[in-house]
Amino acid sequence: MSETNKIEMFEVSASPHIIKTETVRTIMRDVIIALIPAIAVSFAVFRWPALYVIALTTLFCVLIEFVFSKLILKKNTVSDLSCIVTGILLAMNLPSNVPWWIMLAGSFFAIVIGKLVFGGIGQNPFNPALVGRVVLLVSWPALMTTWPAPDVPKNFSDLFKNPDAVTAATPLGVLKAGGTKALDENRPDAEKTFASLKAGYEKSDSDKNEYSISKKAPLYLNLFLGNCGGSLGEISALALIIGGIYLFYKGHITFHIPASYLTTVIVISGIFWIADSAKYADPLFHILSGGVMLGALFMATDMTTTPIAASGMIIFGIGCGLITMTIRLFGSYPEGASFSILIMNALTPLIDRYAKPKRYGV
Amino acid sequence: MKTFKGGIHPEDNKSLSSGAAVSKMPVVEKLAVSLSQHLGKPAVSLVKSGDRVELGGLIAKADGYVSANIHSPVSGTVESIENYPHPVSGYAQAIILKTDLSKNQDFVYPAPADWTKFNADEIKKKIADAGIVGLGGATFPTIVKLSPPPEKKIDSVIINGVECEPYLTSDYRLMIEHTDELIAGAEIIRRIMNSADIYIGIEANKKDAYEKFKSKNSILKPELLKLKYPQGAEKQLIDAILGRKIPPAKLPMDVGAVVMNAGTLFAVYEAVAYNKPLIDRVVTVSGLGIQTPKNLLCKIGTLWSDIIKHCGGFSNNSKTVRLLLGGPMMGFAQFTDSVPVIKGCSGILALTEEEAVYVEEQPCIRCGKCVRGCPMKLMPCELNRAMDYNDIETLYKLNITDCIECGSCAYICPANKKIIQKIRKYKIKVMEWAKKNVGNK
Repeated sequence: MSETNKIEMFEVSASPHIIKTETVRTIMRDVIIALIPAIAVSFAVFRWPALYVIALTTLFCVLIEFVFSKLILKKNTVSDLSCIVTGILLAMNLPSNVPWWIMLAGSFFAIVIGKLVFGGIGQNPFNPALVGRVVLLVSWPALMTTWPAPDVPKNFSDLFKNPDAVTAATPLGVLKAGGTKALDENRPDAEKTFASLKAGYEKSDSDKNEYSISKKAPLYLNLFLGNCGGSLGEISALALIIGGIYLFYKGHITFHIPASYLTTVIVISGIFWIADSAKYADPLFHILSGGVMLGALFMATDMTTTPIAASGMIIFGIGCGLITMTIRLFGSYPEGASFSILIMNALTPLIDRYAKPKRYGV
Repeated sequence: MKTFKGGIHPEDNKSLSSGAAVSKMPVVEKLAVSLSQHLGKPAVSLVKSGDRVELGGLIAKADGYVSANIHSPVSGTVESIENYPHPVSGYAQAIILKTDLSKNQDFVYPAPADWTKFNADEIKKKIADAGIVGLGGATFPTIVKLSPPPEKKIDSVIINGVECEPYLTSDYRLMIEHTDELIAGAEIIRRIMNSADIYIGIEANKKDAYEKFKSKNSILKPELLKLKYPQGAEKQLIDAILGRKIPPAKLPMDVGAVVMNAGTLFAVYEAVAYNKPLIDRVVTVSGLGIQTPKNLLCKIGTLWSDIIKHCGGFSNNSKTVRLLLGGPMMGFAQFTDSVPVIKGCSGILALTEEEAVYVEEQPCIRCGKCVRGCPMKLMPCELNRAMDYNDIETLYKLNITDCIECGSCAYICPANKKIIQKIRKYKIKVMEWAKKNVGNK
């Protein structure tokens, strides 16, 4: 070994020697980016109160994560950005007129009870934002179900004014209270809810009893774009779909859960609609209204709390669809997306146990 | 385009060296020819210190069936036989040669033999004598691969021109510079493999090589494959081209296929047509740590330090932190650059701090990217958890032994879990456990 003295030493490690420059933090950053369209729509429809709720809820979540991760996990876990995602998603599930202490209570339950007590990120069985939301919904139902009316500005300067303090029911709330007739007859509630569709409606006045998709076109357009009452993030299907496509493109979500969830909703609502279209709303209404789109694209695709294998994801999505529609059609709540996802979260370990990829070559 | 299910998309970084035509590494004075250059038993040295050796002469003999001959890459004298740094096993016995620089050290090619007159056994004998092993990196003796038991009917031979490891371009250069020789090699293989179909799998980032084979319209049928790692793995390549899945613990021949690296095919051609033993090979010298990346025809036994010097040395711009044999996904890290080129050395990579980053593990967020990336349909995240709990039985149930150790899981993991690194260790434990606790199933 004559050369021993001039040997240059290098790091020794096992392969692979390169890794993808993607971390938990960059995934969370991408989810935040994906939520920007929905945030923008919530601002356009509900103005400054919307941004106030989003900012304050996120701030609460970050502060609570900072304090309690030190207390519970003995380390600071703010930097993985998951608390910001939880904060925004929780705000997306709130009306724009909630008081600050509602946001604080929701943030506490989301971060501490929903996540940190289980051991932090990756260990939580339930979607933290939904834990926060459901605690608020069952504890303060009145505050959580009073939604400001949508107030899309007529011109640019309107955007910076505060909206009228008028409240309105959500499309699903109208449906639950009065059936499809309520939607059809454009009752005062519904009128507020679908602020600008009146003109389109009156043309089809002649045939009110018949519930057909073509005549409801303005209603669907409003639901699609977000011009309706509801929680901040759930109103615009379009904004959510744009965000969902971004996450899909980035490889953070797969089509399995959103597709199976929405398909199940369509199939079940379709069966009832075909059976009695005067009593039940049509499938398009069901997927565009309420929290289904937000749930299917952002909540039910949460990595930690949903199954890993493709087959498990499909079971998860079908389960979410079944529970959502059961609550919507037969429950006392107008909407069941949050409950359905939480219930399926609870079943995830069980699904994971049986739904595994098929062994290669067998 | 065909492909397999799963896999990942690392940056291929081939442009560093893909434009560099194969050039000859100048002969140097000292070579270290390892006796362990193949899978199986080390070869037995036929020389002792002080002996004169001739270029191409046999200096170590295969020890048993799964072993390979080793020939002298130069004319010169044996300085010693000693334990020498080895790029895969740390240290191994090697014959240290002193080149006689006054002599011609280039292999003199005779007129090509008319191999169409050789029968299968004659061809096989030439391949065995030449000491050819799988040059993709696995270094399994080629003759063993080409001699399946008679009950296994081989209907397809796949030439592996995939080179799915980032950075490596040695097979690519061979395919575009020696297209005709590879086709002749395919005809030779066809003679001994009972007229099997012969395919060459090429990934989409080497489309010019694919077009070249296509325009020749020969018995060597090119298949263009989607760019994806680890497509060059035997099971995945057979799956991609033939759509056949090799069952657990079975071999390619069980589904009627044999896979062979493009470099190996070239060596087979040279051995049969020119009686040339395997004394040199094309090595990609690349990575941001190398001043001038090159594809070099190196004599086996050349020391890496000489090769790196020939490529302008290490780059001054950024420090080389890791020196690798083979690609960055499955290559072996070296602690020193005084290791010799061995038959399985497809690349010498000098990776800098920007390329080979080390990141601490974070908690698993169950994102499932490892599951979707695993070409063997395993659940690496579940394996990782079971390994953290040392749960051998669960690991067995999760089929840890199916793992082909491609490293896709560790590459893609956003929590930077060192999954494959742990799997290598636990596979051995699980196999021992299974021997004791599981009957012959």
